Amino acid sequence: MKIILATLAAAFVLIGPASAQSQGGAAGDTGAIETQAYPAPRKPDGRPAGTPKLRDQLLRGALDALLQPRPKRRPPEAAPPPVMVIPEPAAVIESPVEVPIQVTPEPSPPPSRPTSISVAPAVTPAAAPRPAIIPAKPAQPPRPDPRVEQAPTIEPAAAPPAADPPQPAPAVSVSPPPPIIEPAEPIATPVPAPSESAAGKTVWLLLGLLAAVAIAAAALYLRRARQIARTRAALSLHPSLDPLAGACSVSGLALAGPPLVIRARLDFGGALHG
Amino acid sequence: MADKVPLSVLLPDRLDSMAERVKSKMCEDEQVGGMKLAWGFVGTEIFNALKSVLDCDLLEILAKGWAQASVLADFADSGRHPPGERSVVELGAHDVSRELHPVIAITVGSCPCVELKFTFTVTANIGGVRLSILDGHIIGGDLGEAWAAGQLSYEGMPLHSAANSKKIGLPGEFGFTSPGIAIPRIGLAA
Repeated sequence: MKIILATLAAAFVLIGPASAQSQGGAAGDTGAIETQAYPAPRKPDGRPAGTPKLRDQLLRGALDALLQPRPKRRPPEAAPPPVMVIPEPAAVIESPVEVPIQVTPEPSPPPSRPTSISVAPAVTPAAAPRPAIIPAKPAQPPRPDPRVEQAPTIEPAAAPPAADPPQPAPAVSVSPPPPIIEPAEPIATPVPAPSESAAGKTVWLLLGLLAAVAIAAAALYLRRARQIARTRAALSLHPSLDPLAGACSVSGLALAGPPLVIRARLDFGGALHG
Repeated sequence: MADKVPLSVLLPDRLDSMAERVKSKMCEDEQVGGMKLAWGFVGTEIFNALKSVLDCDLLEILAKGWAQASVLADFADSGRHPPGERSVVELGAHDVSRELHPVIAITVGSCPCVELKFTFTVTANIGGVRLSILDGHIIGGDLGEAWAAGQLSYEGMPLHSAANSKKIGLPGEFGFTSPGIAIPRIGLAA
């Protein structure tokens, strides 16, 4: 699309000024495309101002580029997306292309131009899936006008006009992107199923973790028990204590009072029998 | 007559440093050091053996200390105190300290036996005691306010802090099985 518009703009630039110079400044008269009627422009000093052959070659090349390759591309692209995408962009883009239609009434391409215009949306397939969003109507009408206005102001030099074409290109590509985001939301909403599966996974992970911990604890316990059993089998203890061994010290020991001595005696008295 | 008070009640409930000490001592033998023994279990077993060997009567230990006091030496003289004479001696406040050396012989497998000699120090603070002496033996008594504590150590290093040492009150009246605790003829100077 950009290439086509660029070539068209280049053709305008080349043809418009040339005809203006040769035919007395008729800016809108682009009939100069017909190379046969093209009068060789001359500079004030009388020398030829440009090379008409080169211009003719450029124009023909641009026209060829416009007419020939597009019908070939179309069939493969048009087949898969037969959806409503194609019609609306085509209608939208018709207006910018109408400008060249006014310029070239003569060549047979009028029927072919609509086809070339319809290709334009096909080149930007990214925006195609959202046909409903396409109401980018305000952006399109103003753009054709500036092109027509810019063309006459540009100087006859061949090189500079190439810089102008980039302007229309952004105009076409800018309109679709903003609304792209909306359709993505409904796709994201039906995600509850994965959350359940994730919960199940976490439960299984926890169970696995618990099992691993239990196994590790059991292994540790068994190892410890085996070690204790081995130690018990090998160990024998023989404790002993000598109560008389060891030092003994008594400090501050004193009698708190006179010792009490008790002597008990049983005396048998004499017989009372007389 | 109060029940017997075993010395083991003065031991702390657990000895965490026992296993380490025993291990370091036992592992001096390379053969034992190479064995993968449950040293915690060994420490527990040794502690239990200590408890069993210290299952003697605390008051008996104290009475042996009193029996060596000079003030009681006369009662061992059968000339002054003939047989059958019962004497009651009242002692004032004093402290008794007694060291005991429980020994535990440990054998691991075919390794040579290792003897671990512990020191168990019993300290008693006696507010006053009345002793009954018969035939040169302490046969019983009656304690006033008294308490006792113990400290277990190994190779001069205490195995537990003083805060963990138990401090118990002693019963009032006590007695020993006949003939009682013998009083040596020549008592030690107090």
